[in-house]
Amino acid sequence: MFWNIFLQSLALIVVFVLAGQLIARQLTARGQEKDSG
Amino acid sequence: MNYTMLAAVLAYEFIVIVGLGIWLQRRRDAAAKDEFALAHRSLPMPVVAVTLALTVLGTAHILGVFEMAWILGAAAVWFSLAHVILLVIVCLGTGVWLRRIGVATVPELLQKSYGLETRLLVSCVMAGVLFGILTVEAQGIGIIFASLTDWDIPTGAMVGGVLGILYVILAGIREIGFVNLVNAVVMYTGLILAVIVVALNLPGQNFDTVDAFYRSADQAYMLSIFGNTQIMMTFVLGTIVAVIFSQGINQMLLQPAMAAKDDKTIMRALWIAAPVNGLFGVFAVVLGLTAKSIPEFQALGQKVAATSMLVAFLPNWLAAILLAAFLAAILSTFAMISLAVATIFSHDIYRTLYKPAASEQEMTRLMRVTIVIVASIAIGVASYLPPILAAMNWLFAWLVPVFWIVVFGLFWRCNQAVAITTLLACWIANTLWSFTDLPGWLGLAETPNAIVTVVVALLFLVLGNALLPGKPGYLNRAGAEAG
Repeated sequence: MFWNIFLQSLALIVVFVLAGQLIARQLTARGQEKDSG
Repeated sequence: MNYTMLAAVLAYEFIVIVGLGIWLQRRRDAAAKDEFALAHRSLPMPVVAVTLALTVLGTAHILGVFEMAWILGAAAVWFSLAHVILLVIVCLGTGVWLRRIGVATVPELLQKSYGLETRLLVSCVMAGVLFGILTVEAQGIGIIFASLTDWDIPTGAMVGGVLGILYVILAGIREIGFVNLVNAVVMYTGLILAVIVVALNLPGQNFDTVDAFYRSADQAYMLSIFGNTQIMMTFVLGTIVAVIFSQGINQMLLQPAMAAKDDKTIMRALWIAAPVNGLFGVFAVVLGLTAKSIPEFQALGQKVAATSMLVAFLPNWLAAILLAAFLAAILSTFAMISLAVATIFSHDIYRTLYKPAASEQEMTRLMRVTIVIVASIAIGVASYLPPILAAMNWLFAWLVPVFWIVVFGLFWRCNQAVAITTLLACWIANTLWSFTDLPGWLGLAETPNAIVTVVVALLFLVLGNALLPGKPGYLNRAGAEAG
């Protein structure tokens, strides 16, 4: 029980952080494109 | 817990807090700009990370999650995971924006976007909300002491409150940050050892009997963090919305980000802040589920089962470490909230309205006095408060419209009349939702206040900004001026 909850939670934390970084990077790139255009 | 162990915990807290506080106070440059409130914007990555994680890890994470696990099972861990999503938004969004713009408070950004009136309105309400949360944290400290010792709640709140004041009064946010760094280690040591010892006390010396208990009761969904569809659609979704939009623009969480060395420091801090905050819920959920599976503790009910199990199973020395761990979680939040209230009062009210030329020493003195007064009142009223989760639900919803007017004001359009109307409409809706039968009449009794205020805020801001003229968003304005 403990390891199920622990590992599932840890995996979700990593997914949330990576997804956040991906979205932030794409938004920054789009903003820079808009500025230079 | 015997008095020797209790004395050892208090002595540990006192030595770490006062020792580090005095050491940091001697090293700091008292005349440097915003040294007390923002550490002269020089905090390194590990300190920013742990402070962000512990600032939003307080009473609700401990007492609330024990209770939620009893009702919802392992899905209660989403209370912690929602805070991970919040930290992602702060470390990659709101925190970075505020650090780049170079403001010291959230209301200061609102003056740049909208005007002085919006700044003053939000600073008064945000300080009030933070004070409310501070009283809840003081109550939490009292309850934790009462659970693990034979003290009553007012005595526990008073002793914890004094430690909370010492946590910040000597060297401000720099002190909070470095004490947090030490306390995070104690916190996880206590939690991990407590879970191991509880497991060793169970038949088979593992959690198999807990697992079997829920499966035999046809409640296997209680063992999965994804619960069932109903839990995911109501509790999980509601918690994520409430946590993100209530806390995403809260001064107490953004102040450590504004104190970071640079914006890359905040972004990197996410990799430490997210697991430190998120995994706390795992330990709390496992302890809550285990307590319910043992008949003698199940009979005590959801409010005290988990803490009673800990007192029964843990040896004195480990109960002492666990008390230190829980104190670390709550005191860090208590100290950061006190500092956030003092920063808003000194920067947004005192310096803005009364003394624009106030020196750094004068501002530091004012913040110290404010911290002592505000924390003392919070400790004084801590014993006369409503249930913790109901109070949090109402208090945090006050900040939801602030999140949206900041976002709209940065990226779309700034019309001060629309902003103030939105704030007032949301605050009225929030109060009606908590103190009248309106939710029942509408058939929405289970809907949290934060969701109601999100809907009202978006309605007013989208319609208001679409129909009325206004200045361009602050970030677009800066770009247009530069062009």
